[in-house]
Amino acid sequence: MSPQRRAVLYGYVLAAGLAAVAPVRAAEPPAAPLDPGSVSERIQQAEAARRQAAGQGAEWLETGNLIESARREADQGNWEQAAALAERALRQGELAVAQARRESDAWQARVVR
Amino acid sequence: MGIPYRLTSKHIAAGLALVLTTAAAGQAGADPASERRLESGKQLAMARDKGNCLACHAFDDGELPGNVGPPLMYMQQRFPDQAALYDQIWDATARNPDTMMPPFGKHGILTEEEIGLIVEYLHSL
Amino acid sequence: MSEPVTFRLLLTVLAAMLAIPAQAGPEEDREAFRAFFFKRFPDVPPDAYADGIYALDENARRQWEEIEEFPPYEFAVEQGEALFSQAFANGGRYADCFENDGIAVRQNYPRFDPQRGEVVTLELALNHCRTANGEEPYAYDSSELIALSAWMAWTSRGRKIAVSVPNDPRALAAYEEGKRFYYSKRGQLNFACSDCHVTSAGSWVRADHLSASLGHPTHFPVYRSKLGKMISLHSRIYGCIRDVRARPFPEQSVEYRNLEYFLTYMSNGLPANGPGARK
Repeated sequence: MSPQRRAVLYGYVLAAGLAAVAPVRAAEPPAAPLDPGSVSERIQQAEAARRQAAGQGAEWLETGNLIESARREADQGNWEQAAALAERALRQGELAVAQARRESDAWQARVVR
Repeated sequence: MGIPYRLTSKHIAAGLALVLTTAAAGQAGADPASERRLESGKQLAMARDKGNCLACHAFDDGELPGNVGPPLMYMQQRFPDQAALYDQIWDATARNPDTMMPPFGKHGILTEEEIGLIVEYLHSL
Repeated sequence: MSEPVTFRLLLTVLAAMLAIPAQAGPEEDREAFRAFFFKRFPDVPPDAYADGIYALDENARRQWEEIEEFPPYEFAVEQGEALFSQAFANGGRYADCFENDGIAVRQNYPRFDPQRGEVVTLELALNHCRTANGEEPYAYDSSELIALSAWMAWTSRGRKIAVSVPNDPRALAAYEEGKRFYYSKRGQLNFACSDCHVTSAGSWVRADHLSASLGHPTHFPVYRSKLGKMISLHSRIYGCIRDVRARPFPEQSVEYRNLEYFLTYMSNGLPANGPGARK
């Protein structure tokens, strides 16, 4: 589990009504260093995943917009926003590809027979 | 692909145990913070651009509910373990690949936090 | 066992093996598709499926029947008739591009075109007719093309939908592609067409009643009250795909044409009753 995930988890556990739990202190993740190169690389990865999904007719609705927004933010030097958007787009692209792979067989089980 | 952003039952169970202890100690329902959480959970469950649970399920005082899925009631009896409810909302296709229910967590329709709030709220029904 | 008996037995076994299709053909698919809905809704008469959701929803049907007293698509039919009878600059006519001068042929579309090797919808055939006569093709969402389609649908009212999948591997492949599209989950919401319109047909999604896919394509183009205009079948499909949060394909894309091919084949035998009126 990544530090961010852990943070969310702890947030959840904490907010669920328990204040006095020691590990909560660990919830502050160290800010990941962001350099423009890695952000633009992430955007490229997202775009590659989007294209792969599109090639299988499986692209999701907002992935392209996420990538566009990531590029816009990167152009303005807003690296953190750009990285977050690229991350979401990449995940969508990968999930869409996985969905297409699953469906290449799974659809047959739904055919009315 | 192995996207490691899934709460496991273990984590939830840990959280749940603590919640239950707290609830037992001093009625969680009466606590304003917990009331607020239940209210946020309800809003997330009903909002069309969030859980939109009313599209398919009848619950609480929701108007014009759908009936694709079962009514959301007696949730504590149906899901004694909150973690199982969380899992069902996170990715219902894990148990049944042909289910109509969207994989809200897995597909990033809702965040972990949002699902957590919805689970707490639904469990109160 | 005498030899002729053994031989006959062998033949029987072989015949039985051949009779089990590796994959169900279009006609088996269609029969199963119809049977599914007839079993689910035993009180709905088969031809009523051509009325879409109004086959399943008595209240909505009454409102719809009131709308049909002053059909909102009438203007499109009139406009379409006028456009259809106008000659092109080169003197050619739409009627020359179709069997029977284009009257009462809508029920045969979409059809597999062996020359082009692909599925040709009515809208595509109309645009092919225009370009063959030196005219610019219409945009697929143009009111002109939709009006022409409305007129041709009007002349086919009451004819039985009769889409054929000829004995051509390319035609069968197009049909199979449409079928795969129909049953595949897609988009962030992970829905297949069949999730809503087979498995959950007749259920409610908030205030919307899920229609059966049997009969889906019989009545297009339709006047949609909530949009205040006529729309094509592909535009309706586009909306569905977008709603499951998948990136939609453009109208008349090969994906939608193949889907229309499969979907309309499923409705073979139902009365063509376009144009229609819908919420």
